[in-house]
Amino acid sequence: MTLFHFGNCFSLAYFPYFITYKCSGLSEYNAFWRCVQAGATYLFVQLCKMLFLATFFPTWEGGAGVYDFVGEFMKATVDMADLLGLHLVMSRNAGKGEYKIMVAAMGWATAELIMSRCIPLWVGARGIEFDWKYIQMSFDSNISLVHYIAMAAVVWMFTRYDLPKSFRLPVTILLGLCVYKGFLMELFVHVFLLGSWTALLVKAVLTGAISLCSLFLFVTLVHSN
Amino acid sequence: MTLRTSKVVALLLLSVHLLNASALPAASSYEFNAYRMQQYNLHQDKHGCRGAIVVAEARSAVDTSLTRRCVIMKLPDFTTERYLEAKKQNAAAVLILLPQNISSVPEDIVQGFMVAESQVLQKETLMPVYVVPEDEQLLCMYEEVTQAAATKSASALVRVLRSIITATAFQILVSNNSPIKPMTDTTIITLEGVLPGAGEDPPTIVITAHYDSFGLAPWLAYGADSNGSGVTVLLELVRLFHHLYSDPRSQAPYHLLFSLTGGGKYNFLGTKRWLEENMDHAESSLLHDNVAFVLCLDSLGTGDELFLHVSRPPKPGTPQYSFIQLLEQVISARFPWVRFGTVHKKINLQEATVAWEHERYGMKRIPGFTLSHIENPKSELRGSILDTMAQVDIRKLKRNAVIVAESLARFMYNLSDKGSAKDMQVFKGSLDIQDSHLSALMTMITSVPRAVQLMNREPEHTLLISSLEQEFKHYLQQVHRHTFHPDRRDPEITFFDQMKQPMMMYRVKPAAFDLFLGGCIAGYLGIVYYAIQNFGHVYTKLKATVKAKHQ
Repeated sequence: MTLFHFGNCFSLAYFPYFITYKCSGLSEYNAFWRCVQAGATYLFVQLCKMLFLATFFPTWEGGAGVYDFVGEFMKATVDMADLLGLHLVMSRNAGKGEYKIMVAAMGWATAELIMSRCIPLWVGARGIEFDWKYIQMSFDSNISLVHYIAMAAVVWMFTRYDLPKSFRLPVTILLGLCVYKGFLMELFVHVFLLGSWTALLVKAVLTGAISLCSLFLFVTLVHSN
Repeated sequence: MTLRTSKVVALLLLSVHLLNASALPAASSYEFNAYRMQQYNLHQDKHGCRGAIVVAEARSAVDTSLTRRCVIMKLPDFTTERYLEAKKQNAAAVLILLPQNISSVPEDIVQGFMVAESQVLQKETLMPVYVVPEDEQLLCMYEEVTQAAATKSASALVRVLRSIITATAFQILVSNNSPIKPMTDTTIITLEGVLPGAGEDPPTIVITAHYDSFGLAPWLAYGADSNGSGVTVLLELVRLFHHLYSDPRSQAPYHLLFSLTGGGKYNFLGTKRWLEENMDHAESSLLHDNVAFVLCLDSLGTGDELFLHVSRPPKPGTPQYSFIQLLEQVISARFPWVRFGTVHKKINLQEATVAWEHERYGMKRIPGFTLSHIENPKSELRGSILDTMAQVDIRKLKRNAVIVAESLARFMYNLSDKGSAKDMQVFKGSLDIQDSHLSALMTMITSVPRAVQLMNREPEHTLLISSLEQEFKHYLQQVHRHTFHPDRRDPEITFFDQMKQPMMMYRVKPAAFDLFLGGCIAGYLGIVYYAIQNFGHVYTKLKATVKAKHQ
């Protein structure tokens, strides 16, 4: 029943995206092609990041167990390009704030789902052996969806001209957290030697915290005047 | 609504707990080499296992239902009773895990395993039997499979249900593209060499040992005691007598014919063919006439007993009788704690197996005997995969080599008639037998499994035979290598291939588990759907609180 297992993982990964697309009302605004454009921008940004990393960052020559903190930190900094990409997508879409955020986030997250999760699932989950990592991968894609929505919202807020002074600091902190979330997660796993399920839980909690803060700031910003 | 949601949440938490509890450490798929039990036909008698394909779930040997499963056994588990039980229940296969360090296994377990091994090979079976050296992954699998068997026998209903749904099972897979075929290129190689004696037409003493090994799986049969020890003693004798014969003044009035024969474990086929070639086909051979006796060396690596096996008791006045007297003399003078005895067994031409090598010579009317520490020719010590260097005691091997060498020297140079002391040492000083040399020879000989099926097929085995030939050429003259093939139309022995197979081990979950997981995921997705649908309410409520705060 291993095709069944693949079906399980695929539905676990894909269903929330589908529900979000349907329930956020994007389908009424004919946003499908705009999402696809956002996905294309994602591909382009990833390509640029890869080229940049390959050119300017030498391979780590140290021992196998030692974790290169500085090197990984620098690599995470390159993820700032994600923010630029999201900003690019949102600036090209005219409309309300929520519309822009949702289109950018949906397109971006779906592109990431297709590019980085579909092939491992197809190749791995269909095999005769059973491994928990495929279920974990699907959960991870759910968490990524929430993460990208929060990230798009924070980027949108950051670029608003009418952002009050008191909001600057929290928004910047949230922005930093979004970019370095991957780095922080790897740090936690290395230092505390977390198991795979615990790491997933920590990631979910972190993403939940970031998204709640950004939601609160967003509502306050949009509806406070 | 709340009751239903709370039920769903409870189910989810329970399933998370179950999933966490069954998170396991080892790899989900693992490939390794497994060695199949040997399969051969000896004079139309079929031996060994006929099957090679395995597609079965792994089960512990203590489990009650073994039908169509692969039984995993460690060394203590493999007994004749367990094996017959597995056969009776129609198990799909047996997989034996061999420890890396055999010397740490207790003696009685080794005995039990050897007995089971020899009994299993008497007959043929359809069930594939594989032997695998232990490693971490396989030991993990064994532990888990044993635990699963224990939980099943605990028989609490909840546990059984839980195990049906969530327990990890292991699937063992050996897939074959081709059926098992008989090997057509079997070769049996015999080496011979001569040290010519002094005088005109002196009699010949033949010293021989078979160098091949026998065990449950050909790739794991190292045969240290049987008969690596025999080969080592023979090579030592070659070296010592070469030294003596190199000086014409110390040349004895006997030709020494040394022979290393192959196919010894299969009714001494190498010896039989070599004798036929020398006696029936060769123009002149040292074997044709005037052979004093043939001394066959078989298993001299351990033990405080020595037995001389003869087919008929030698009459006083014959060279054999004098040699036996000299053996007794040397042992009682220098090694009195060693028990020495003559075992008399008549050659029975009706029997399927030839007991000792000297019987082949006896069938050609050449007198001979076999020296061994083993008393019973059907002993399980003569063919086991547990016969490694751990079974050999180098000091006892050296003692046996000294006994043989001294007795031969006394016989050949007629020392007792010349009035030498009973405990005089012939080989001492520069001619002394050294432990380190014996150890090095044993290590070289047991570095490679010497099963007949593998000889002349793998490069390391051809290298070993070439090394032995080189040793002979260094010390002896008229060194020949004879290569025999079984007769095409009526082969005495047929071996079958596929002795080493790649085996895969997969972690699998039962089919019910996929359904269970599907149900859990459906529950989770239901929650997600509910949350997203009602996200709008949360949003408006948040908006209202913010507006209220600002008013």
